[in-house]
Amino acid sequence: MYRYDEFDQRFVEERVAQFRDQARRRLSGALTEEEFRPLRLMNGLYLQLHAYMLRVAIPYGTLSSAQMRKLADISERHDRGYGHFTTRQNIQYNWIKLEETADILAELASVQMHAIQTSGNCIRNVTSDPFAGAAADEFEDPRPTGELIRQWSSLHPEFSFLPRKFKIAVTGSPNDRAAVKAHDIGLRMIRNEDGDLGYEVIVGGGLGRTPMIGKVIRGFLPKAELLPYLEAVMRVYNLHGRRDNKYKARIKILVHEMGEEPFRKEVEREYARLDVESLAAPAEEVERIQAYFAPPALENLPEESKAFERARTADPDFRIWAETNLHPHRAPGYTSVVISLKPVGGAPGDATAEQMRVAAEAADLWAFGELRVTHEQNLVLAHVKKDDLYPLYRKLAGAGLDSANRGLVTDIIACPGLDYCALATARSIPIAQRLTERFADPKRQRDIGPLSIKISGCINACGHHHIGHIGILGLDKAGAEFYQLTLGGDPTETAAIGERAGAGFSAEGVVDAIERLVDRYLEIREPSETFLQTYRRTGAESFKDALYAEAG
Amino acid sequence: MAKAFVSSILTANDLREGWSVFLTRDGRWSRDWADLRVAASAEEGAELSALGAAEEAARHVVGAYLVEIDAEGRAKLRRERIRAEGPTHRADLRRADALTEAA
Repeated sequence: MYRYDEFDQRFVEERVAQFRDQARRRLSGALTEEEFRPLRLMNGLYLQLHAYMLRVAIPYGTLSSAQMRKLADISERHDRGYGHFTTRQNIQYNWIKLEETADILAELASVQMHAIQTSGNCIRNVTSDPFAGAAADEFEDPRPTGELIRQWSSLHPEFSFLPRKFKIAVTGSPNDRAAVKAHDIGLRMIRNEDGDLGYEVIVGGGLGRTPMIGKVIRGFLPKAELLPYLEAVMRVYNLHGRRDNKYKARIKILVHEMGEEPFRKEVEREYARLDVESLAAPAEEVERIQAYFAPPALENLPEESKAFERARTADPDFRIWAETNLHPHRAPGYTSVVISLKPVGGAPGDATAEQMRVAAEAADLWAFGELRVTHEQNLVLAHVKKDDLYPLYRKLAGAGLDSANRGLVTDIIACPGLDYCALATARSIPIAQRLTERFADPKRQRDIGPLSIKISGCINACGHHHIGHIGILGLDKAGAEFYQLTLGGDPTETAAIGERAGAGFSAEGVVDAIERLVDRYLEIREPSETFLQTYRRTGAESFKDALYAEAG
Repeated sequence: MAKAFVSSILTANDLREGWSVFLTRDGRWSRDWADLRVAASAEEGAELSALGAAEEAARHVVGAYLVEIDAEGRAKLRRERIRAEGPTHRADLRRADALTEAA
């Protein structure tokens, strides 16, 4: 994991002191709310529906057990004993006091964390594959790239006041688990014909009120040219991105309005003007960063584990969990473990202080003290010996962290919605709760197979509904919560924006409607076909017919 | 024609603690939706709004605004009911007397 050097540490501590003074001046009356608001937002402090909300950055979703324990402590000492892991691999606290915020930031700084650039029109936390450095299908660990971008973009003077917020995601695997095509910039590590590693650069993806899939503007960018090329993209956006209309200010609108080819030409023209050499990260700095992500000392193990096999036979609940919640590791005898934060009836992505501590302890005991947060709002232990899986599972089960549902119908993504968010138009969490209750039966879930439901409580789409196999968008219709469905969305390398299914449903009706969709899929699927495959084969009509049969 | 005034109460967030608060009949800010000062006319509404602005200037609260209520004295909008009663997804986060339909 990356460790702060003295400059990083001093910088973060200075920011804490600066914020402490800003908050003091706000409380003394030296700053009005109008003056203070942009300052607190630069430190991740929002005013939400109920209280202040603090969003803490978890760079590329990787954190140590000590950091996780600190997050648990903060939730207990300064909040109401829980936190919410988000689709951008961060954590949010919902009940923060302004007068305690500087202390919280100081506590975060003590474990090399902060809340800088988790809000505002700047480059936000870089997100990545939660199985980075472990996955069997990976070209290269994408996190050194994430860290390089983090250092380059932190307080970058030219890019601190962009037309709008800016989100970058990186994947090091051909199988995209970071939704890179739905980001302002998506980077896919690839190998060219000569076998050199570089990036495919995808620009102009995004969700929100105008969902778009990103466009490839550079098929192969040599690794060493990353920062200068990003600089060129950012400059074109900073200059031409719209500042007159908040809803048209994201880079996706610029790429769309300019056209893909003119945009690419503009970037290449800017790139040709740059002093690439001086903007590129020095090779020794890249190596320094890379060294922090050196793989842990893995043992040479046989692929099969007898202990694992025995436990699987002896404990059927463990067998079911192991079927869904493990991810293939590159090293024999190892696996990655998904800790689901999606219990039946729970709020997706919420974890109590106790659960955070148990996850941290499990990481210390069996996973080199390291954890990941996934954009699907779960946790991951990246490097676990198969021999250790059963005691790990038992520990997780003791804290309600043993939901066996990764990738299944109850592994729902949901934004906080109207239960917390000042912008929301409808609730998200209660819909997720009722859906997980409806589909609770493990056998039924496994029979349905891979199916992602994603719920947003307003058109800003924090719950990624456009790229859910089934997307749910909560709106307000004359005072009543009202839910529109989209079908066929896909966050992966075969990314697609879901299509509107038709008229929406009431809060009471939406769970039944989804059950009808799922039942229709089960009726018409071919052997071993997933929901998405069936949808793509048959088209929307056969599903619409099931959705609206009663109305006809 | 001007829209008819709907009876309203005054809400804001506590500046220091952040929690949503409501102005009571005796002029205190309370986390509880109980014994609230109600503006029943446009004039009283303007008075309450002015009081909110003064309370912001005095740095007691931030973001003061009027919330329309119904004949039973509850907030008309679901958003405002959730704000007053707490998130609906966990009973322990809600006020004991919360009426908004839970999940």
